[in-house]
Amino acid sequence: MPDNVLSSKIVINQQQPSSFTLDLNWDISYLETNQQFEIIFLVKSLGETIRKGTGPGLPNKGTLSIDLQSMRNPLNSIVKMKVIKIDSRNIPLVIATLDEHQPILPNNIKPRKSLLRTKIDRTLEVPWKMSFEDGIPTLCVTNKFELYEPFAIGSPIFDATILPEVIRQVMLWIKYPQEEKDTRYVEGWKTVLEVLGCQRDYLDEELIFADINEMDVVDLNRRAESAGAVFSNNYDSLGRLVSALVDNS
Amino acid sequence: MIFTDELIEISMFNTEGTVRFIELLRDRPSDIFKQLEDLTSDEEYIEKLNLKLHWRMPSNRWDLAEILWESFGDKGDLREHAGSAQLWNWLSAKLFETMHEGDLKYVQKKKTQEIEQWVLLETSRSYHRHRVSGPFFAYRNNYPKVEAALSQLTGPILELSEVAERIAGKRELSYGTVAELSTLLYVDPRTRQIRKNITDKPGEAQQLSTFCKQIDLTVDYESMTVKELLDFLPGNFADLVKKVKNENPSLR
Repeated sequence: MPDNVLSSKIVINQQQPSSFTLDLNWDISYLETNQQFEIIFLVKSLGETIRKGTGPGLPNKGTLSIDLQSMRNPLNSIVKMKVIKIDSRNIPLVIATLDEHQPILPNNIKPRKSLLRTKIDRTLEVPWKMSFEDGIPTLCVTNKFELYEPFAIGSPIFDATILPEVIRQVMLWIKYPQEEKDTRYVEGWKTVLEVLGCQRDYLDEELIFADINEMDVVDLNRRAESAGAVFSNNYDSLGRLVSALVDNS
Repeated sequence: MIFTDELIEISMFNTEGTVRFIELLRDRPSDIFKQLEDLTSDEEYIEKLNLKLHWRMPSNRWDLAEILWESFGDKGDLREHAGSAQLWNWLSAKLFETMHEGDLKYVQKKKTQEIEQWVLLETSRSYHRHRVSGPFFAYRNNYPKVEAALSQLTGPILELSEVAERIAGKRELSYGTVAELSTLLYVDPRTRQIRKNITDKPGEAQQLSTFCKQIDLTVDYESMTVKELLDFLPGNFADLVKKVKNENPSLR
């Protein structure tokens, strides 16, 4: 289904400010069907699911509120929407699906931020790669071979082998002139790189394309590799840093 | 060590408390039980909630789920805190010695044991492996039809059966009629334990998981009844389905 069939937002419960409700608003009139169908919503957040249906035969447009109080991480929720038709053998067939829909969060709540944004990239032909789209360092991981899972649970092997290279690439990104860089991420990463032995003065000084010479590039690569190596060689004692990077810095 | 019938005054860790807990789990020092006892009462690392949990020593994962349900369930004093990872982390640290029955040698031998078995992280996708909260959430996800969760709740408190790993690890399988189906297929109703020699056989839990994944885009299997699901399973489940129907005439 196209993304615009569903809009949703998470709102704070007025009577209980620490809990949340998900408000859904859908319009599937584009399906142009006279058949009886039911819409099922699955609200998923890290191992938990709330399933709620509209009941059969509702109009093409509608709204629904779902209480998220029972969820451990309601603000991380994603929504799956399924349009169901019962066939003549009484089997509920899925005639349309929308997956990975992200609700809008309440105004005064910022989404959980990580210095290293991560996402599953279904089109990726390598296990992982760094992207700096939107000016934000993002680790893209394939979902093939269940590779995302070890990353998401913070597998030490994954962290210890991939993160040093991530750190190297982020340092190159910080130093090279780019059209778009999110300054909050730049500042956060500079702090991390300082911990890894880089000089703040050096990090603050962005290279200028016209002036870049071979020595600059060699020096930058050496420093970037060194930062990655410091991380790699001190992995255990930098455990807290890993948490800060991947968890919720 | 927490003794049976003891009232535990509940707290939750702050971030530093959880980090300290992770460090102790990584290092497993010889005085780990003492250090955990100190950590769980050190006000620098915790926040007290002024709520209590009535603890009894569970004999298996089902027992543990029922004990926790009394406090964290829909009528329990701690129900509003059931979503707090920091509370579960504190409780894990508090119960660590008790759940290991004070066996330091075992704890140190299991040094490589995954940290996620005791610590919930926001990024974790393996909440089901958590030795304290995992049973509770399997129970809660199926309440009030809690018998449906039995395939996820068999066995000792420190172990997760392969069936439980497969079923609890996939949220689509862990609740509702699919969870009930998995209990019928894989749990022996007489012993309430996983059927003997169930792995590596046609219809094993991995195959149920694969089958559900295959049909997910075309069939809303979660809305089917157990009887419909039994009739819908492919041929490699035939022997198990026959057994289930023999044990449950109403499903024939």
